[in-house]
Parts: sequence; structure tokens; C-alpha cells
Amino acid sequence: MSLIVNARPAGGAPGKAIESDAIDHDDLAAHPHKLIALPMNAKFGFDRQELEAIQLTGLQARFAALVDRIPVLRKFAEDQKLTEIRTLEDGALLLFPHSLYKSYPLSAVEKQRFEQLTRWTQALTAIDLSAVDCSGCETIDDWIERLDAQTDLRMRHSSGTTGKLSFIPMSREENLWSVLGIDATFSRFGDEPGSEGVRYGEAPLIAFGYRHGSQSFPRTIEALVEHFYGGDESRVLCMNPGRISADMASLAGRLEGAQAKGALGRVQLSPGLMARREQFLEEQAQAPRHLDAFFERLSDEFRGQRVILQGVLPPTVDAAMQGLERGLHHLFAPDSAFFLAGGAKGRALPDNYRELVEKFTGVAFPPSGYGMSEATSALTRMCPQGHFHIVPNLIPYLLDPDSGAPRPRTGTQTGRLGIIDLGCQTRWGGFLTGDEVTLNHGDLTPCGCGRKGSYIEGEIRRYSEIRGGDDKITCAGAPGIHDKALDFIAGASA
Amino acid sequence: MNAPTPLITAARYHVPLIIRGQVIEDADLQFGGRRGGVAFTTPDVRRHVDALFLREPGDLADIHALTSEEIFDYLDALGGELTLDRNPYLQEAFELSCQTSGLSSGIVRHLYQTVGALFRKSFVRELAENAIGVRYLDGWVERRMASGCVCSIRAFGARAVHVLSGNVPMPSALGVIRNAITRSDAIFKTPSNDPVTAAAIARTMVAMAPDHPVTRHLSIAYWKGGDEQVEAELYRPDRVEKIIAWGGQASITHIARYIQPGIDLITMDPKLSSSIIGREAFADEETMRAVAARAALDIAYFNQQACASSRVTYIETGTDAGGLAKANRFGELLFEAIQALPEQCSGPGAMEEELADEIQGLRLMSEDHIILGGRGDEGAIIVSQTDEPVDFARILNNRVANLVPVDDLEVPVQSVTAYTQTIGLYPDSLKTQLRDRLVFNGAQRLVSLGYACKAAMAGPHDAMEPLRRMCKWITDENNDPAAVPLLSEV
Repeated sequence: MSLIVNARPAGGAPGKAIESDAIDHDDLAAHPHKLIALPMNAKFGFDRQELEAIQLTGLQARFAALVDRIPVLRKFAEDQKLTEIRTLEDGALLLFPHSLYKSYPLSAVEKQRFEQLTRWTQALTAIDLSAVDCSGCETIDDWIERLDAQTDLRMRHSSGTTGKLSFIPMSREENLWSVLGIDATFSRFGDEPGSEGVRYGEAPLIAFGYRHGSQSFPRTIEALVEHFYGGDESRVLCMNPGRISADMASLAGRLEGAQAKGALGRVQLSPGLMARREQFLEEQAQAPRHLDAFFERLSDEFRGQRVILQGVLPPTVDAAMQGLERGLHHLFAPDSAFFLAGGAKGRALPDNYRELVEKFTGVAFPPSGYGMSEATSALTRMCPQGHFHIVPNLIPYLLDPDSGAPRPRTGTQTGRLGIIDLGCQTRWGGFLTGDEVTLNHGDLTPCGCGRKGSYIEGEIRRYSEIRGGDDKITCAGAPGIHDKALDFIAGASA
Repeated sequence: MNAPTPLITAARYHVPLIIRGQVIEDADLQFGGRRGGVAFTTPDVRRHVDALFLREPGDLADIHALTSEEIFDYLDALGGELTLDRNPYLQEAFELSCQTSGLSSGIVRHLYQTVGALFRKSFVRELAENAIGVRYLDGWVERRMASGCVCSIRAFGARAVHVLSGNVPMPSALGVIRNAITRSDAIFKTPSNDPVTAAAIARTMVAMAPDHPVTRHLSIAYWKGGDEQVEAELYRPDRVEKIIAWGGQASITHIARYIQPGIDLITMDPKLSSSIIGREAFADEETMRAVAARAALDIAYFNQQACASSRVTYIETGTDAGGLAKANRFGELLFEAIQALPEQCSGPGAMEEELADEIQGLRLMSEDHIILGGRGDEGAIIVSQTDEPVDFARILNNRVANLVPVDDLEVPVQSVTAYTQTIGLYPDSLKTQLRDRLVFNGAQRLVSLGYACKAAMAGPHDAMEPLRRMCKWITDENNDPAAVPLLSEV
């Protein structure tokens, strides 16, 4: 589940080189999540040996601390006959498939068996969920709220466009570190161009998305408000002040599940979901009013200001188009910071979307980036040489896409990317992406931009696209109905 | 060591374009295959599209002048030529299929060794008689209507495109047979994962009888599905009257935009199949073992690649502790039975990654499933410990099946959907008891457990009746005003 990220720094501490001896290596090895908050100069200033020393100690510590607290990690390690980590290479045996995060039975949601979902979650997290009381929960939203209220767990869920929702159990603290990681992308590396001075908290935040909910975007806003804005909502403006509902996001998968179950599924579908649908319709009816209010405030309160812009690509382009329609353009100071995540996600965007966004905001379109939603903080933006550098809290692995055998961690290799994120403190940070990448480990041919360490060269491709069926036809199967479910939402909102 | 893994190796196969007996051997274009990285070269169909469709509809007269018996003789002779040991075209198709089908070579060999048998006269005649009625094919059949009108009916052939599916020789072979029986003119659009088999049959026809009307009304072409320069030219009512499309959304997506009045679309839908086993099967160990051997065939024959392959098996063991114990024991017996199948039926096959990930997810996270096997290429039995199938039942494949214990057969009856094809049942009395309700919910074919993949081939083909639909049913209505008053006189 990779995502493309665009981040344009707005300065910060200008190009001040951080010598590696100014960094407390022992502290980082003992608390490797602190790697997340290092400024770019430090993140990409490690020599290979010193970084690997930190990573190995960090990995060993994480494994030792979590193996007995996260049941699925223990089982996974037992399967691999791994009792301790000796080398960084051992980490290649501990990469979870993404399916793990959606391995719950859909019927638990359909039949509102949220205790079962909680037990399922418990297998993935070191946070104690034994005291969570799910009584009275009718919807996924209710359940996540309950977890928020009673524990440190801050569940994140996927957008649901591929069917079943994935649930990634992050902690409150990881949620905060995650935004420190985003903040760090605004710091400058060396003498690379970028305007001066704006970091989260120092300027108002304009967010092209929902304020509330449990997808990455609203969770990020939640942490930014808490950590950088001291809870002061007046300095944060979201395009939609409402909540993006997990139940609505799960609709496609649930309809598909219901369809696959025949009449049995139709019986299960009705109660809770239909109530949610009513609510969703009501929210949709409110949306134009919210949008008017959003543009009004942008124009009245924030015009000409230096701000931080935050968005996911498609809704940001939508906002730009709607804003331009209202005659709003060049709204903000050109030295504002801009953080933009997500690819087109299957949406057809106008060819000139970059210009539209620039014209509306008055801020240069940020350079591309790469990240993965399974990680606490994986964001990296493209260097002037056109490469994505791997941030130091991530240990990258490349695997043979067929055999799963790890490729040597040296030189330039192509394969399926796996990651261990040392930033994860309460769940296991190892996961396998669906991406084919060419990774230069940076040991033989370092990148010309001056960043040290490994970096992704060239195109990142989804294996599902590489191997997908252009013309393959078989007689076994049944159509998925994602599109119909999305139509259902669209129809409901029309 | 720095080279990326090549997904496509050098072209090894060449696939000709065959237009009504004429074999065009140019190698204008190269396409990549799948799995083993097989690629092939083929002529650019865009350059030949004007010759591809039958320009003069009247040119169908020659094949309509043949009697059905003459056509059956031709097909019978063709079947004799389709002998793997001595047909180089078929050998090449077999070799490619071994690499691209994902099936073990034992199965693929069996399929190619038996393809000729499909053309046997006795079978083809039965098929034509059951599906259409030979007299409707051979001439006009008079029927006197209550009005006094004498209505003569004849089944005519049509100009058709068959969008074939890959993996196995069956769709190509059936396509040739059906096209000949109905006296149609067919263009086969071959799939990228098997561009060779249909061409192999057609080349055998050209070698055997180059000028025979059956040979001259078959064309074989590969173009990339969705290629507008080919499809927009071809799919026009004045050029093509019927499209027979195997495969579901993947093939229909490209075709749908061309569907309009004047073009009939016959979809050979992809479907999923299941099994229902009544409580009688669990009476004792011996019965369980015998029933498991039959269930194993429905699941694993042909490595579960067919639409008729069972994916979910509902077992009426009950879901209490005793019931689950029986279900789990049955799972073991079923797993053993699958492993024991002979190699021409079933063999080890690599699990697709998506499925392997789902199984790993269950293995690590689920309290509600017991998984037997599934670590290598041996296949797996997932025994649900509740009365629910796994969420990923749709992608079960390559000898991975889900056993679902139930207290009540209402669960499987209510689980049938519009995408259900075959249901294998045990004992047979269960069929009689459940069949109407299974059909109302969507089932298309009911069969004694163990026979899901041994279809009554001369039957209506999964509720679809393709042969009847491939014909144009024409009437010649004869009225004598003395017997049938004119409309103005009523």
C-alpha cells in the first residue's frame, strides 16, 4: 500500500550540516523511533556502517521487546524458526503480508461482533485491549471510537477501494511520531533550494480533506492539532469539518461480501449499514454548505498568508477546481509549505492538474514523494537527482517476487520491496509491499545529491499491474462489485 | 547481478494469422505471455482486418449446402488428425500450454491427448441432435400453425466472433465443433495465455482439407483485447452478427462498447461452483473416506482451474464439538484423497500469491479455521470452525478448498448466487430434495458428487444453450388466402 507524496519544504533550519558525532547513537539504537524526527541532514548523513549498527541494535531491541507481546509476531517467528535477530538479514524473514491487516472475518462486522474484532486486533498489537468494552457498538465507527476512548490504540483503516478494509493498529504515540516525520520532510537538505521558515505550528494549517475519521489523513490532522497546535482548532481549517466514516468506506467490501453469500448475505446486510447510509446521505447534503464555508474562510481569514497546505492529490485537485470556479486564485503566500500525498488512485485527473493547483494556491506544486501507509513514517521526497531515499527508521529488503528469497543487500537490485519500520513501537513494523522497485544500496554508487544510504532508482511498479490480466481469460470466477458499490455511494449522494 | 529480473524472455513462439484457409506467417508484432515468460510473434491483424470478416454474407451458401452427416464426417476425420503423438501443431500447443497454463504437465498431456475424442462422430451427432435437432440444420422443417399458416423453420449459421479463454484446448475445440454444426463463419480471437491451440486445430484443418467449406469458414487471430483499430472495424452489425465471449468482465469490458442492435452477445460467463454433502456421508469412517474420494475429484480435477471446480464444500456435520471433530476428520481424509489423485487428474501447483497471503493471514490470525497443508504446492483444505466460508472463497484455486460445517442445509441453499454454476451433491436424494430451490437462487447445473468435471457434454452447457443461440432461427411462412384470411378481411 504505497503512496505517492509531494512535499515542498518551506525552509526550517537552513542547510545546517549536522555532524554525525552530534548525534547520540546509543540513544537512537535504544529508541529507534527517534530517527523519525531527525532533520533531513541528519537522516541522510549516516555512513552505512553507523546506520546499520543503529538499525541492528534497534531491530534486536524491537524484536526482543515485542515477540512475547504480539502474538502474531511470535507465531510468525516460530514459523520461520527464528528466536533471535543476529543480523539485519534476519529481518527479511519477518515481513508480514499485507493480507494480515485484513484477515478478520467480514461476518464479524456484518453481525456486529466487535469483541471478535477486538480479539483479532489484540493479536497484532502490544497494547492491552483486554478491558475494552464493546457493548452497544453497532458500527465500525462506534468500535474505533471505543478503542480511542478506552485505550492508547489509534486504529487506522484503508480507503476500502479494493474491497475489504484493512485495519492498522497504531498507538497514540506512533500517531504523534508520524507527524514529526512529516514535519521533518520540511527541513532542508544541504543547500538545496526551499523557502525559509515555516514548520507545523508556526503557520496555520489548511487541509484538503476530512477533519475527523480514522483514515491516515484525518488521523494525521488529529495528531498535528494535538502536537503542533496545542489543540487550537482555530488555526486549522479542513475542507470538510465532518467525519469520513469507516462504515461507508467499508461499503464496497460489505456489498461484495453480501453478494458472495447469496440470500444469506442479503439478510445480513440490512440493519446497521442502512442506518449509516441515511447518515451518509445527510452529510452529503451538508457538503456544499461546508464547502462554501471553507472557501469563505480561506478567502476572508487566510488570503495572502503564509500557511501550510496539506492534502491528498484527488481531493486537492477537486478543491483547486472548485476554488477557481469561485474566482479564487493565488490565495496564499508563495513561500507557504505544501504537503501532498497520494497518487491519482484510479481517478482521472485533468492533464493540467498541477497548474490548476498552483493557480488556486499560488504555491509551487511540491516534488513527488513515496511512502507506505503500513509504516509509521516512511515519507521521502524526490531528491534533485530524481531518486527516493529511504529514511533511516526503515530497513529495506528486496525479495525475489516468486520465491521470496532475499536479494543481497548491496549494489543495485530489483525485486519486491519489504520494509521493517523501526518507528513502530506497539506493533511489528515489518511488512511486504506490492511494489517492484530497483534499490541502490548506496554503498557502491552513492547518489549524486549528497544523501547517504539506499535509494530507489527509476519507476516503482505494482506487481498486480505487471502481472495483471491484460487479456487473460478463464472460465472460473465471479465479478467483483467494487464499482457498483461505489456507484451506490455516488447514486446515494446524487 | 544488477540486471532486473526479466519478465519476458526472447520470442520462441510464432503464431500465424489464419484467414479462411490462408495461413499468414508474418511476424510483425511481439506480445509477452504470462508465467514462465513465454512470448510470441504474430502478424499485425490491423493490416488484415478488411479480409478478416466475411465480406459477402452470401458466401455462407457453400457450408449450408453440406449435410450434417458430411460435416460430422469431416469433424470425425479431423479428430483423428488431432493425435498428440503425430501432430506437430498440437505438440507445440501442448508444450506452450505446459508453460503457460499453471497446470502440471500430467494434466496438460491428458487434455491434449484426449482433445481429438471430442470430434468423434457419435458425440458430435448427439450434440447437434440434442441442442438443435439435425433436421433443422439440414433443411426447412414444416410446421402447420393453428391459424392455417405453414411455417417452415430452419436454423441458419451466422457470422460470428468467438472470444476464447485460455489454459485448455476445450474452448477452441468446442468452438470449431459448434461453428461447423451451426454452419457459421467464425473468427476466433485467441487469448494471450494460449494463442496457439486454436491455430493448431485450424492448421490441421488446412493440412487435411484446405478447400473444404468447414476449413474455409474459420479464421484464427490474436490481437490485444481492446485494440480499437481491430475491434471497431470488426464489431459492426453488417460484418458480425454474433459474439460468443468466454470469460466474464475481462473479455466483456472491451466488447461491451460495440454491442448494439444487430449484434447478439452470447456470454459464456465465468462461474464458481460448490458442493453440498449431507449427513449420510458422515455415518462412519469408511463412508467418509469414500465420499472424500469423490469430493476430491470435484475440487482438484484439473487443479481446480475450471468453472465447474468446487471451491466451497458445505458438510452437514453440525457445528457442535462432535460435528467439528467430524468436519476436521473429513478434512484430513479429503486432503489425503486429493494428494492421492493420479497425475493426469491433478498434481502439485504453485499457489497464487494473493491466495497464499490470505492463507498465511488465516494461519497466523484466525481462531476459526484449521488449515491442512498449504505450505508448499500441495494444495490445502481450510476447515471453517463456524458455519461460514472464508471471505476469500472467490479466489480459491489450485487445490485449495474450504470445508464449511453446517447444522442446517438452509445455509448452502441460501448461499447460492447468480454466479453459481455447478453444485455437486451427496447423496443423490439430496439433489431431488434441494434442486428447485438451488436453481431459483442461481445454480445452473446439479450433479452427483464426484462428477462435476465430467459434464454431460451434449447437454445445454450450464443453462446457456450456446448452440441454439449461435443459430439464426428463420421462418418461411406460407399462407393460402383460401385457408388463412388476409388481415383486411378479418
